Amino acid sequence: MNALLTMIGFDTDNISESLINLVKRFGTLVATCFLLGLSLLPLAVLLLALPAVLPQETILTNSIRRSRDVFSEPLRRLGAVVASIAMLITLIAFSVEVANRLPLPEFSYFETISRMLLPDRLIQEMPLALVRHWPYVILLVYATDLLALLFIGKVPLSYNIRNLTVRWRITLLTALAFTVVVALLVALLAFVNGMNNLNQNSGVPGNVFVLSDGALDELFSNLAYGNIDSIANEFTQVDENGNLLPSPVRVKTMPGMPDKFMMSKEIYCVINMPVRNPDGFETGKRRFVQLRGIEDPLIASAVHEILLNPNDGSKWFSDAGVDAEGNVQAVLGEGVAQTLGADQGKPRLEVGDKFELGNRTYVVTGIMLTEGKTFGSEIWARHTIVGNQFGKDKFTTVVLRVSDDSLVGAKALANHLQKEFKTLKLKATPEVIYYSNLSRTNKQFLVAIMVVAAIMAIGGIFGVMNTMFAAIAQRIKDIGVLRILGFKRWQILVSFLLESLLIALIGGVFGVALGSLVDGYSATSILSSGPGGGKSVVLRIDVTPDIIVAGILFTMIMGRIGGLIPALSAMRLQILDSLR
Amino acid sequence: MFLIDLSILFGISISTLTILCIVLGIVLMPPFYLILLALEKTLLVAQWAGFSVIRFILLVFRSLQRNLLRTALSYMAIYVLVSVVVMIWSVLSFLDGITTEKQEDFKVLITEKFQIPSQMPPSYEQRLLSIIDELPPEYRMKNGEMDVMTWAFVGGTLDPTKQTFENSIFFFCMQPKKFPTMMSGLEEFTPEEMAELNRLIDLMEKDKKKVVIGTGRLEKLQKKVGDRFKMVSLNYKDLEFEFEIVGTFPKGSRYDESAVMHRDYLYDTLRDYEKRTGMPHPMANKCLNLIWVRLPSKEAYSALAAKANESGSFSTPAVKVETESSGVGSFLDAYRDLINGMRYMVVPAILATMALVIANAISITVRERRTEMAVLKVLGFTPGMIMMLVLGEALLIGVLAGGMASSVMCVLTQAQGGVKFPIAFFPAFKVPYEAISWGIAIGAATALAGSLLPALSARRVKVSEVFSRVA
Amino acid sequence: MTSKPPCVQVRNLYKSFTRGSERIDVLQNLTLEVPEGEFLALMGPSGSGKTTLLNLIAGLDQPTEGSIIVGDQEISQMSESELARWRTRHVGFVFQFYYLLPVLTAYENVELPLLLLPMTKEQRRKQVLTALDLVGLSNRLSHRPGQLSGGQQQRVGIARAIVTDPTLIVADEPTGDLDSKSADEILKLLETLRAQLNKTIIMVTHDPKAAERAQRVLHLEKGRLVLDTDNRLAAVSSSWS
Repeated sequence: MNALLTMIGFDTDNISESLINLVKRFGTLVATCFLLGLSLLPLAVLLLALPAVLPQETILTNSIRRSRDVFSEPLRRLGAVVASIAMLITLIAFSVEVANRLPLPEFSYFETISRMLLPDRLIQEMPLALVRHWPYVILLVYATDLLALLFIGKVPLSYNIRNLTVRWRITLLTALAFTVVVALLVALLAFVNGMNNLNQNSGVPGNVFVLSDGALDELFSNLAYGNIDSIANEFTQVDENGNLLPSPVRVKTMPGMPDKFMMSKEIYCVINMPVRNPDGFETGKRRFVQLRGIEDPLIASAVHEILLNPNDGSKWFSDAGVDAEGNVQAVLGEGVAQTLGADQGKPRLEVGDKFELGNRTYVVTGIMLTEGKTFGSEIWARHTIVGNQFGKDKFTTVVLRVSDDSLVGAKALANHLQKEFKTLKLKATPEVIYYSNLSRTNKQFLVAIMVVAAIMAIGGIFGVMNTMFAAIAQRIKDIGVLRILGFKRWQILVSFLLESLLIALIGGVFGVALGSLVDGYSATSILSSGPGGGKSVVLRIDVTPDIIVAGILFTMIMGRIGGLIPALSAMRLQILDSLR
Repeated sequence: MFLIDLSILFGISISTLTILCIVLGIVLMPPFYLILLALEKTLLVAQWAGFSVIRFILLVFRSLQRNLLRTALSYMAIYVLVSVVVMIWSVLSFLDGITTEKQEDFKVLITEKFQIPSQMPPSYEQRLLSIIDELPPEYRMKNGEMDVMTWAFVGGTLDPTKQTFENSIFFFCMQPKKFPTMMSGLEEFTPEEMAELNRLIDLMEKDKKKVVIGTGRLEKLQKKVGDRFKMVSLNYKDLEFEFEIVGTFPKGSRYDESAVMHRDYLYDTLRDYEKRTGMPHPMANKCLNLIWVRLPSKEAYSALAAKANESGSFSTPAVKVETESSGVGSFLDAYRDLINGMRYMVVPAILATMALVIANAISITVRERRTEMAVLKVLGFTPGMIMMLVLGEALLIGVLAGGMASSVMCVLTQAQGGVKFPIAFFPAFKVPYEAISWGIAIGAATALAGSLLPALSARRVKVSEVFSRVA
Repeated sequence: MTSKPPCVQVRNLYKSFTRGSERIDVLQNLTLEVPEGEFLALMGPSGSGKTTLLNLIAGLDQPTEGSIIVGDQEISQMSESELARWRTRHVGFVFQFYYLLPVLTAYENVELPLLLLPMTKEQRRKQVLTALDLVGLSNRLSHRPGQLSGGQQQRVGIARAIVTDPTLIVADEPTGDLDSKSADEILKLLETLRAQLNKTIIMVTHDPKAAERAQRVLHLEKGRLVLDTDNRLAAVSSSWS
């Protein structure tokens, strides 16, 4: 017991003093945690703000004048707070301006995150660049801040860089932890990005997606055959808010065929099929595939903007829907062609290949070009065959194109069909909105990824803290010498912080490179629109510059948090103590 | 498919648990040191303390006290990472567990062969029973009809004009008298709760319009026991039901979000529709979603499956006979990539990070103590012993931190009876007791991996080189 | 003159190091003898090779050429692991910077070499207590080095050096880090050890005053023996004048 007490500084001979010591230490612990939050501020702001938190620290000056009255200290703190806020705002404003001039894409996930985390009113007050591209802004703030400091103060940067290169082994080891974390983060984000791309690309702005009323998803939708043809004659003059439209919105007709409407009637089923291996034996596992019975493939192709592969002899299925031998003719999306191809030991199924579905043999007559669309996971065949085979005699889905090919028109017509169409109760949504609802899963994945990354980051942070503490302990004499030579305390602070940032950056860059290797691979996932719905989709993992920036930002934050406290301790060393 | 959202709910509880565990890790740091001290003292006091090996081991313990901060940081890093790995492995093994076959007395699912949702005519129940009668007696159900249960799902809303998640309800449509014999997880209920359940079942059998709804769902609907309400069905179009809530499931059980109604009420309502409109309801021949049969053995299942496939008795639609676990397996197939990603990407990444953190800490330690180790060599300690010292330090932190992390995770989930997967079909998720050994193993393995190179370098400290700089 | 064989015999000793591509000859053709029970001081400027010589005699390194016999063993041909074993039993070290393990108490530090020998706990305890008693630190058994003064730490170092009852005690600048009062105490202690226990002590030092306490002083320069003075003669001669 004695040993433990001695360890924490408890001297049994002097209890009261030791208690006070203990309380002081606890207070330091709390302050430390607070400092961790501060570490994310730009350095300049941090330097200005520190006197507010640690008023007895001398950072910018070499000594503190003792406060002569009770007002000096709070005033000093207040001054520090004001100065730091001013600096922060300046930096942010500057970076926002620069960000505005950069050629950044319009859409970004970061917008999703900021809208998730901040209240709407606040979002409206903030400049667009900040909401949408905040990682870029933050990185710019950090960069500006560092450059300014390096320019203004003679920070002994070469000393730090030399230290890193001489002790390259430990530098690499610490950086490796960052590499692992960032690589994983990049890979996971790219996966979510791939899922999001599917949603983006699958919806045509001018399409309206019609299900039966109350259907949670295509699977549960049930539209009777006869009645729905009259949908084609519907039109509207007003949009969903009741405002008059420049011209009435109708259902578009096929180019060159004025009596054929661009209205695709479809029967959607999900079929359970056993997974086979190339020898033809069932492996015991089963999978679900998506089958869509189409009334008219040419109309469907036009409405969904999907073409067949022109180079491999792809053709749509015939009116009969079967070939001479009675095999069901089908066209496949690229994703499902790959999945089913694996069963037969091929990279993908080609025109002419056969496979079993339900209790019939299907033959591939064509492959659809479906890059990045959910239709990539679908098999299309003639609706009469599908309906017969699986006992679904009613259409589940109708997708139609509006005459002005725009989202505005789609919204208007969708609203009209849902409210005004009397023959049958419908649930009509603009297709783009239907797909964006499906991306709910993405948000949830995003959150999960952030949690995992944060936890793993803890490992990296502890690693860097360890390294920096040890490095400083080894270089105590060096620090003493630097101080004697005239370097100020804040310059010492900045230089050690830079060291940890450099380690983080090296590790992060390698991590981003490593994580980007997953770019282009395919993976399966689920899109869910809510209770009862869900599509299994094949997606392509996509690494974009946004993701790379997120990775770099993440590693910088890790480096800052891990590096601040050791750097602070380096700064606080008394000159003479360090040389003894 | 609604599994996805529920699994997100599940995911959230898991994450909260992990975070709780991590926070506890910080709180548990003093005990960590106390345990180290206690082990040290025990070694000192141990009967065979005459052995010099004990002293040697003590040296390892003492070395950890050199730099408390570094030991604390390493401990925290290992603790956090082992918590996460143990959690992920537990989830994975949980999923593996429910997809592996049980050997006897298992439930068999009969569903439509090809499509989802599985929709069969109600007459299939009778056909199934007659097929089973044709099987040899040892393959038939032990308790006859009580081992067969049919399921249908009726979803609806209390307010058809504005349907929301809160005013919707999803009923399990079944024969209440079979609930006690066929449902799993009933061992979680106390005898009083079972008695109450049986009473409610009696009431439901007498009056088919009575229903039992879980407390969670009742709250969302803003109803209480004794209320009557009308429900417009969403998946059975144009059907309306009038229910009376006669009771609820025990609070906190896996049935919190569940609702049960009598199957015969559905059948009656379908018949009424036909009488009213002159035409059968479109779903009249699709109102049976699932049949459960409890069979005595795997052979019985194979026999039944063979028979169901061959005869023309189930033609439109065709059916498939599967075991419970393979049914779940198909659902999980879509998650295959996600699960594999977890298993082969996330977990190794975390393990690598752990090894790196330890490698970091230990190599710093070794560098600091080069002179000390040289002194030990001077005194006659062999290079092998010096290497053991370094490895021992790493192992100690790894094993202790790993063991503590996994124990906390285990206790957290076991103590509150597990994380409830809010679907009635799945058991609660608990971190198994074996996880404690996983935690220790991971801690030890990563400790060894990380400290290997520094230990080898410590081994090679040359005595003369270290001293020749002096004078 | 004694008829006992000398404790240490060095014959034609050569030692060179290679730093990069350069070969540095540190010791060249050294021959000397140290009789049993003698307190010998090695002096010389920086780089003269005195520490290297000490290391070789103590079995910490192997000579490039030549022979070293300590006690009755030819150690120049021993392998590293044999040397390790031999060192524990036959040599005691005292360092300029004490080199105590900061995490162990004084008692445990002194006990450390004994852990390598086949002894029971009781036997170890007896020897440690004896050693600590000899250096006068019996009341500081459970203190850690951080709680002891420089002089006290060095005394623990000496206790550790004698606890195995070695043939030879080797001291590398033992007073280099101490103030004059503590240095004096340490040197007195070493002399006592020699007188009471007949230990052979070889000490490397810069300090002429420390060297005066020894019985014989050897001067080295550039790896060669240049002077061999006998303090006993000097003491006798000075008492005459």
